[in-house]
Amino acid sequence: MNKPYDVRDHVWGARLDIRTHEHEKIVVDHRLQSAYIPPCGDCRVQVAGRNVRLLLGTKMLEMTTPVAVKVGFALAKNGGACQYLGDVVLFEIGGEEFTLLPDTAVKVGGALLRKADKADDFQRSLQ
Amino acid sequence: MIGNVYSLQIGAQAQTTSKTLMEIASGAAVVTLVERAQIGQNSFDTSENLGCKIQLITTTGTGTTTVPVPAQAGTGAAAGTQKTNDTIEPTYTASKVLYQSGFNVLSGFLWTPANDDEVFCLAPSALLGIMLDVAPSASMNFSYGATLRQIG
Repeated sequence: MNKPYDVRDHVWGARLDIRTHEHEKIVVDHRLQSAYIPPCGDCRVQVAGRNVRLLLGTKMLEMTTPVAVKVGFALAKNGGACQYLGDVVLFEIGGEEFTLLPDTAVKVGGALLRKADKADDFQRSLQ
Repeated sequence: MIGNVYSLQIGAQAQTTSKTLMEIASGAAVVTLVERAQIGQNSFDTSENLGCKIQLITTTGTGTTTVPVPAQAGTGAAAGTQKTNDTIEPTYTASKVLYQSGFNVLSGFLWTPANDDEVFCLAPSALLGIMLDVAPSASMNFSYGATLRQIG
């Protein structure tokens, strides 16, 4: 019997590495920064009808719900995996890198998961 | 519905001191969202103000292992070891109080997120405590619980 779908299947270890339909790369990972990099504090997560939007600095990423769940899960997982002073969560969209403080990553990840649930409800209401 | 929803509930348990009522543990491979937390009291008929605090935990304490009940039949068991009624307090993480509020024992305490952004999200293996942070003046029977969503 096939194993049921599991979001963990797409997040190996803690790293998420996926491509959009426009071949843009989205990476979520964590690493120790040797130099101080100002964390990006300008984060918003919103439901956009059937999709979920993540506004990060000057970038806007609109995701389908499966992608939002994967990215949210990866952000929360990487935030939790930061155990040492100086560890930050790396979020890369189409080659542009953002660094998030671990707490911020967990919070944004949780918000993405909840908004994905809302967007999922909206999709079902259309059926 | 994304993830699995579980209910962790304890009914009419006598409490005489300030203590951790629940330790919510996220499993090693799941992200846990706290959807609701509540404390009610049903034995003491006089108005009295107590306090509740929700804070992240660094090191787990000693409590009674309690198995959360899935909201839907057929759902697998919740990941992580949830504890209630701690006899040895956990070590709370400094400066990580997520919510703190007073409440009247006659009306009880209820927390739900005000919106989707106010979410208590626990990374894999993270811990969160829900505690009475003011001691009751006499023994009171508390019913308390939390609703959890586990994703992963």
